[in-house]
Amino acid sequence: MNMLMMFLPILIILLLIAGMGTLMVRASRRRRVSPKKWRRMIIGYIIILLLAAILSYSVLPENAEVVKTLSSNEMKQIESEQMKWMEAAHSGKLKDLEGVYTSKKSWSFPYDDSKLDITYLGEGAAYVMIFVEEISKGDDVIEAVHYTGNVFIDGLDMTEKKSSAQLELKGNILSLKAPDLASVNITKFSNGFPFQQFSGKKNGLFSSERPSMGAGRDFILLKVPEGVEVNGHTNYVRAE
Amino acid sequence: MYLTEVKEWDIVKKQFRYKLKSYFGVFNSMMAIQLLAILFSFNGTGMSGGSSGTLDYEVHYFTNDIIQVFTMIWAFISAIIITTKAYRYDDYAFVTNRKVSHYSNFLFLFSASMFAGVTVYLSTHLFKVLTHMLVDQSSIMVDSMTITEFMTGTGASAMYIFLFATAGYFVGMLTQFNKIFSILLPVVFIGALILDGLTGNPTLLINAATFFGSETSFIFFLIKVLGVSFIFLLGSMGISNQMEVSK
Repeated sequence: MNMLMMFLPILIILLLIAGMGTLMVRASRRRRVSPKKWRRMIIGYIIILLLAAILSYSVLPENAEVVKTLSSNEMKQIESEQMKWMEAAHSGKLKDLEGVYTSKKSWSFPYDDSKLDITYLGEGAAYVMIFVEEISKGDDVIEAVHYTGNVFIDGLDMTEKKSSAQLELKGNILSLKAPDLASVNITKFSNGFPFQQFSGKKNGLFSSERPSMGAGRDFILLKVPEGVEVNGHTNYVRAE
Repeated sequence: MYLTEVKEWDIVKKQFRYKLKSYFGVFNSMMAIQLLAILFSFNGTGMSGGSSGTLDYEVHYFTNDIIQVFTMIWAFISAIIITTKAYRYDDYAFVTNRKVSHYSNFLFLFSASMFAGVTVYLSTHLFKVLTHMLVDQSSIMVDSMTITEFMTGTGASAMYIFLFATAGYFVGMLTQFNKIFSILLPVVFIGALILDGLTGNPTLLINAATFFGSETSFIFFLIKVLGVSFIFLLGSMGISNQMEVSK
């Protein structure tokens, strides 16, 4: 019985299509509707389709983002580069961040104290790592940049949708608040299966692989003037 | 020696032209079925959601898969319809034989499939525009498409339709050969699917679909589809040779 119920929707659709197809073909043969009218209907349909295609290409891009879906290999490469950077950072080497992580927000605080305490505010703040770099040159300024790792949802890069962390300096206490939880509601138009089969994004038609990558790590890169003693929740302090 | 020499290919061309005009209702049914498929597609093909620490997401997926599948079923049914006696006997308005009739039918099915493939692509845009107007979502994302993807995608879409059309033609000829097949074939097909499903490890449909669907090279896919379609054509011609002559 269950098996029959499973096939029921398919059977109904098949019967519906078969019925409609047969009726329309027979109706055209019996000449209930003149061939001219049939022809006009088809021409009208094609005109509507062409107009819709023009509209879709001209109007939709203004309201919809045309996105390039990344393949699973491309995402793995990005993930691997970010992992390498993170490993190097933990062992004391802050490599160039250009093209590896995305910067969300930057701050600059004038600072002339010799001590700096870092505290986390609220839940989730500990999720954001802090790397501290001592800079010898420059003014008495603390520079901070929030970097975030990429987040992919079904191959779509959603990094831009993430919120930024919040930093506040009061006296010699630098408080870090975790980024607010960002919500995205996406309508995604994917090309049909014949278009995806040869695009290289999937391994054929039946690949169930829906490429997505876990949470990209967030961290703050803090540049403090040389000689400032940093205390608190930092992951690594490096002197230049 | 005859006063007029009749070339086989000329009659095929004439019959093909005649069929394009005479079978016009087939395209109207395609239009109705594609509009029905657009209506069914509004529900979306899936939805996923989750949270990744700092991001909470909900994705609603829309594709033209339903339009494609409905058009493939339309091709299958239309091909069965043109094998019925009423349609087959139309061909005898011309000086013809069965081979010529099959050739012109295949040409018609091929051109109808190409046309259907293009309309599937175009109707996707109609679907996008309508969804854009009717569905309220915070952000709309559209997959990008390169020229190569467009060419191979439209070609593959038409080829899938053609494959179903030739399969329908073969099934139609079988049914015309002996009416018992009109009961036997659905029973065997649905029965096999149920039995396959009961084993817990369905292979019948999967294997058939994987043969075409897992092909990532367009050229090999084309060879597979045209090869199988050719087998269906030969099969249909073989069956019709066993049928009694028209009076």
